[in-house]
This record gives sequence, structure tokens and C-alpha cells, in this order.
Amino acid sequence: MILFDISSFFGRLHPLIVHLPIGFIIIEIILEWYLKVNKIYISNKILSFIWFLAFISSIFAVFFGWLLASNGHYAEDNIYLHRWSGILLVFFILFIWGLKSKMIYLFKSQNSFFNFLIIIILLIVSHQGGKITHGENYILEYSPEFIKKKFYNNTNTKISYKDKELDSIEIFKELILPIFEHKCISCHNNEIQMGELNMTTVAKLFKGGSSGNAIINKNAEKSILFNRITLPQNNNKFMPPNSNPLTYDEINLIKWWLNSDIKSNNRLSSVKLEKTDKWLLNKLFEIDTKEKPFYDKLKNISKLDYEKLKRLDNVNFTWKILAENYPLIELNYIGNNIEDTSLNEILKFNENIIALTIKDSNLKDSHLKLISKLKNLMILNIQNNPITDKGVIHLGSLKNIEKLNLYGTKISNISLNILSKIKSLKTIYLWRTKVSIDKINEFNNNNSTKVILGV
Amino acid sequence: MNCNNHKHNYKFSRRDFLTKTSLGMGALTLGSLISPTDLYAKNTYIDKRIPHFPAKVKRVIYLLQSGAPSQLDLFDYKPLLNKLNGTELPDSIRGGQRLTGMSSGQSSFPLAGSVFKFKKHGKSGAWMSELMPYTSKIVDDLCFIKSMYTEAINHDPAVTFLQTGSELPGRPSIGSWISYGLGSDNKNLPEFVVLVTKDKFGQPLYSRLWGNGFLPSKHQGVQFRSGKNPVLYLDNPPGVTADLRKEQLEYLKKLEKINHSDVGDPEILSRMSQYEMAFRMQSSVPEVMDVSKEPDYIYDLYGKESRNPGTFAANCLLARKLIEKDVKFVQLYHQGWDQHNDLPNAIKVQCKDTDQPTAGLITDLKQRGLLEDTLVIWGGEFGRGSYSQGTLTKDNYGRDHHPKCFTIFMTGAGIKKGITLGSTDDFGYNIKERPVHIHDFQATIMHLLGIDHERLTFKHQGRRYRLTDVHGNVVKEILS
Repeated sequence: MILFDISSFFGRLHPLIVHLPIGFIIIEIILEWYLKVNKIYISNKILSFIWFLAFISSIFAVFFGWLLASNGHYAEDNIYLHRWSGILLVFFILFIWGLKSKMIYLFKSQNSFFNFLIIIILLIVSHQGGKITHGENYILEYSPEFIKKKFYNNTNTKISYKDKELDSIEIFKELILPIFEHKCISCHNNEIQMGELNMTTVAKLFKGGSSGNAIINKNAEKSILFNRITLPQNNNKFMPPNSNPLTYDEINLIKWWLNSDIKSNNRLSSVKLEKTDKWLLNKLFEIDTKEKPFYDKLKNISKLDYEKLKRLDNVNFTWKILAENYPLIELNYIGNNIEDTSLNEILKFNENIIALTIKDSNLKDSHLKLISKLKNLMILNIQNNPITDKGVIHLGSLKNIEKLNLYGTKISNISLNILSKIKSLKTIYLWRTKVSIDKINEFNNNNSTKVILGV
Repeated sequence: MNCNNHKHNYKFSRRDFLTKTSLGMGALTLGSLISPTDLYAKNTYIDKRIPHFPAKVKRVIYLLQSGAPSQLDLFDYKPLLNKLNGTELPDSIRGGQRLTGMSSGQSSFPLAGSVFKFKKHGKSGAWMSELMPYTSKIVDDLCFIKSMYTEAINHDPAVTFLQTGSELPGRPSIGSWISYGLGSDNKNLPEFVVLVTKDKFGQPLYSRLWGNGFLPSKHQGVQFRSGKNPVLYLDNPPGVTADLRKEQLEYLKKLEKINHSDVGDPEILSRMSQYEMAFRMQSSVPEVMDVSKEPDYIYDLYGKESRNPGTFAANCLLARKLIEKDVKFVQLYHQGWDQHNDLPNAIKVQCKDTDQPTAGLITDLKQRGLLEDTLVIWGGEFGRGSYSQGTLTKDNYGRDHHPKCFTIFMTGAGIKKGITLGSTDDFGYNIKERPVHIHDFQATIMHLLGIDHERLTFKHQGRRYRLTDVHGNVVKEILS
């Protein structure tokens, strides 16, 4: 243990010591350049002595660095390049020391060539080192926008499931695993299994590692995984052991997941979400748990052509666009006698029409056949028209209709039977029709669709 | 001495140009460095009159109860006031609140419990007083906000604030903003129609309350009156036929076109469209004002006063007809709620005027399916206080203005039904939870209509104005 502590102590001196060789190399190169420009000649011994100092300090830096790396807080993948380029640098300094003390002679302008080369290697090593200590984006994080756009490597891109339906989001694979991948999997994967734990699948998590099952179904408090990520950070068993702990929200999400019924391919739609869960899912993944209106689910609708839309004015239809960025229209007939030609004209915008109002306009059963072709129709208001049960049969093919206003028409109980088969219907207006009150009461008791009557 | 006296002659001298533009370029560069995407202002003008987002509400009926109805006698049940009736209003509750000059001189402020009986109604269990038997029957369709508050303490600034978002006159009314933001659905009728109950007295109503302010004048509210001439100066004078008027307008249009190409004043276009609108209204207004074809059961629904043109009941019926014709914003005004004394008797009259018509209107809209996309609002400009103004007797008292809390109710599209938002303390004096400011209320109406209240602006006198000024948060809790 003492040995471990001492090696850790020296290991942590690495970030301090590394700056010595860096300083020596830079002062040496600047000095050489300065002497050359000003044509000052000094003893070569001084110059080669500085290279010697650089060599000695770089050996210490590499040694301490090795100790630091061997303490196991780093994934080999991340430090591989830094480790070996650092060692290469030591040998390179040794080589240059040889050059400068005139022990080696290769070609004429070797001095400037190797000075240039060592700066390149130094940049690589120190950049890799900085990345390990501070993270990749440390320097660029607050850089001006135009630099950021080009160079900033946004590793922390927020995962967004904004446009995904709840039934297509897999809980483990799409919500939990990304957190593990970011913070745990570098040490607990198929190749490396520290503590014999593999965190890549639900089954392997249940199996656990040397300390037992990592997770326990419906019990976050007893799950070792949850225990480890919530220990005090200075505890030896705290996970993850490097300086990148899970955030409060990530811990809460894992807690929520562990307390649910964990199955490997559970979807978000299969679990009941409390208010705080919804808030959390929205915050972390921009998941919209609210039920979306029909028009938000529509995709690939053709764009509206304003010139063509203006033609609707000629057949007495006024049109309104639902909202910005929605190629959907609501139509209102303003004449008083509807004809097939007018309806055929609106059918040219079939998929764009989500609401249609034709009231008091002598709309007949035969017209409904045309209207029933509107595949995205949500709202249909055909009040006060001579429509009978025969016409309502056509409406059965409106698969997305939610609101249907039939007040003041001549329909009877039969129509209600037909309408009860349209699953998408939410509200039906049947004031002043021949549908009996008993029938409506019966319907309202047995259906989620609501029939609204009047006085 | 100021050496720059020449400045009024040369508003922008060579020197000014160089100093100002170089500074400006510097600022531009800095701005683009900090955040290049925000350098260019977003286009806030609405060209095609498309809502910002899908709207639940297409039309609004605003039943404005001018004079401020007493929430303590209608909706906000406070048994503690009855218990402590006659005792002094505690200073801890009043908290140094400013009072109007009408009661600030009183030596005592005795708490006055309502003389009216309260009962819970409907499945939602909303408290309603016996004053509103008809509205009590439809409480499950209503959404009450019991925690409204305003800044003004007197009628005119308060009602101006409620209507225009500013206590000072001169800004556009809500209806004008909506007309400007959403345009028209019926080219034969104005987007914004105003109906004022006849023969009522109380706090004065000025046409600036439904004025367009700095917006183009075609967005102003048009008042429809009862009687022979619903819209003043609309009919042709005797001897002028419709054809003659049409011809006259066509020539006028030609002249105005030349004028506009010369001067470029947008108000000329506005006026041209109004002349044409007025011509179309000559036939559309009589049609919509004709209630003779309404069946008896509809009159029964709105109450017998609905047969008497110009009453609140008749105006409610008209409001429905206007909404059926796709008028965007119908605003009713009903005066007489300013009950500083003799409240128990005066409020009975007011409720008799408004209770049945309001409930009737909502029921009628519902059965026709209009409540699916119409918003109905009932409320005054502020509330009334919990202490008695003047002498408190066993069955009589008055109430002074109270801006710190009041109740309104809404129903219709996009609103949760059968809920109550916010509450007041046991004295009915301060808001206990969820305060809703006038600007929040305005922002919510705009939101329901599909307008982002922060984006609907109009540039006037060098700055962009909005209805909610720099305030307003949408009251999300009441949205369905």
C-alpha cells in the first residue's frame, strides 16, 4: 500500500515535471535562433549542456508519467499515443544532444531541420498530454464562434430523440448505454473487464463481476452499480475512478432505470412515467412525452403552391395555413350551394387539407364520397346540410378524423353505429339530428368518443 | 458654449459620418465575433398572416365587465370574512396597500363578508354564489383564474391596461393586435367587432379602448349598435343608390392609387380597403344583425332580454352570429359593476343582466361545435376589496377598487375545463398562489391564437412595440 501511495505521489508530479524539458527545449531553440540572427558566437558546450538538461528532465518526466499511467485510472486507448510519443521524444533529445556536442554529423543544415522536427514532436506529445488532463475541448471551449465551428470537436453532443416516438426508443440501448459508453465502457467492455465486469449488455450487467451482480431488477438501492456511482468521490471504490463522475441527472436516470422492470429491449412506451421522469427525459434527451397532435406526426407532405391555392378562391373556398412551417391548410366554403367541381378542385390538395368546413351549403350524400378521399382530414364540419345515413357510410374511410360536426343534418341512429367504428374520432356533434337521446347516452357510456348534444 | 450649433443644419456632417460609421463598423465586427448568427435581426413582420404555431383558438369572444365585478360576492368564497364581519382589516393583511381617494379617508376598514350564499357546483366543485344560477350549471366547462392582478387602481388606466397592455392611452387594443397578426377570415365583415350594452351607466367607455393605436387603421374595432343603423355612417344617404356608390368608389380608388404612388403613405391603402369593406358591409351587416329567424328556444336559452336589441343578452346572441360568420374578435362591454355602495342590491341587477346570457352563449356555442375553436372570456379590469367602503350594516355594504386580486373565467378551445387556477388568502385580499398578471393573461390569449406574443411587433416611433411590452409569460397550467 505504501509503495502504491509513493508511486501515486510521484506519478502525480508528472504534470509538473513535464514542463521542465518543454522549457529547456524552447529556450534552447530560441537561443540558437537569436545567436544565429545576431551573429553571436558562444561556446557550443553551453548549448549542448542545455540539451543535456532537457534530456535528464525528460527522463524524469517519462518515469513519473509511467507511474501515473500504471495506477490504472486511465484507459490505455486514451494514453497510448502520449506514452509512446513521450518516450520517442526522450530518445530524440538524446540524439540532438549528440548532434550539438558534435558527436554526430549527418548533413549540412541538420541543426535547423532537427530543431523543427523536435518542435513538431513536442507539440504532439504535449497536446496529447493536455487532452488527458483537461479534456479535448479545454482550450477551444470559449473560443470565438468561427474558430469553434471549424475546430471544436463536440464530443458532448446532446443526444436528441426530439422527433422519435416513445415506442421506438429502447430504454437500455438508447438511454442508458450512451452514458455507460461515455463514462464506464472503456474499462468494462468485451476486451477489458476490470473487476470482471462487462457493461455492454443487460444480461452481462445482471451477471455482474467479482463483487456480485451489478444490477438488481427493480431495486436501485441494492444494485452495486448504483452504490458505486453514488459513493463519496474520495472512496476507493467510487466509479468511475478518473475525474469524470456521472452527473446528477445521469445518476437519477440510472436510478429510474434500475427501479423499473429491466428487460434488455424494453421500450419507453412500455413503462409508466411519473412527472419527474418526464422532466428528466426531456432534459437529457429532449424526449417529448406529450401526446403529439396528428398534424405533428405527418411527414413528407408536399409543399403548398400559393399560385395554385389562389384558385380555390374562384370556387368559393377560403383557405388558411395551419402555421409557419406546416404545409397544411384549413378550408372553409363561403358559398351557399356546393358542387362537385368545387370539391374536385380541393381534392388537388388532398394531403394538405386537415380541416374542412362546409356549412349550410346543400351538401348531399354523394358529395361525401368525394370528401371521404381526404386522407389527412382531422376536422370536418358539415352542419346544417341535407345529409342522411347513406352519406355517412362514406365517412368510414376517413382514418384520421377527430372532430365531426353533423349538427342539423338528417342522420339517425344508424349513423352512430357507423361512426362508432372510426377509432380516431374524439368528438361528434349531433344536435338537432334524428339520433335518439337513448342511443347517444348508450354510445357515450361505451365509447371514448364523446357525442355532444344541445338543448 | 456649444460649438456644434450647426448640427441642426447638417444632421449628418462628413465628420459625423466618419466617426459614427467607424464606431459602428467596430461594433458590428465585435458583434459578429461574439455571435455571428445573431448579427442580423430576425424578421418579425408578418407578411402572409400565418400563425407562428398551430392554434387551438380561431376566434375570441371577450365579455368585458366594465367597472370591476366583486369577486368576493360571485366566485371567491371567503367564509372567514363572514366570521370576522365588522372587525377591522388587519394591517398585516393590507400591508400598506395604497387605497383610492374614495376610501383612504375612512377611519375604519370593517371586513365585510358576502351576504350571498355560496355552494359548490358540478363535478369540479367550483364555488359559486347564488347570484349566478345559470353559470353555476356550466362550471364544469369553465376555467377560473382566481389570482389575477393588475397594476392600476382606477378604472380608466386599468381597463386601458387590460385592453392595450399600457395604462396610458394610445396603444392598440388586443383585438387590433389579433386582426393585425392573423388577418381576416371573412372579407365581408371586420375582424374586430365591438358591442356595448345600451342604456347602461358607470365608468365611461371610449372608442380608444378598441382603437388601433399606431397599427394601420383597418385593424380598429368596429362598433355595431342596436337599432336602425348598426354601423354609423354605413348606409348610403337618401337618393344615392348602390350602383352610384359603387361607381363613385371605383373612381375614388383610381385617384387614391395615384395619390399613393406619389406619397407612399400606407394609410391610403388602409383607407381604400376600408371603403371597399364598408361597401360590402352594406349588405353583410344587415344580414348578420337580423335575428328574426332565431327560433324561440334560442331566445329562451339567452333569456327573455335577448329579444330586446342592445341588451347584454341580445349582444351575446349577436356575438354568436358574428362568430359563426368567422369574425375573429368580438368584444362585448357591459357597464355598471362599480359598486362602491349598495353593492348587494346593485350586483343583483348586474347578474340578472349577464348570468343567463353568458351561460346561454357558452351552451349555444357548445352545441353548435363552435366552442371547439372559440375562446370565451368573462371578467373585469380589477377586483373589489374585502373591507366595506362606507358604513357596514347587516345587509348592506360597498366595496372599493382592489387591484391585488380578482377572478376571471374562460372557456373554449385549448383551455382545461372544470379547473381553478390560483387562490387568494382567507381575507380575499392577497394572492396566495400562482399570481397571473395582466400581461400573462394577454400572452396566453395570443398563445392560444397561435401567436408568439414576443414576435408579434410593430415598429412605431423608432422602436418595436408589442401588446405585452417586455413582459408576459404564457399561463401554461390552463392550456389543454
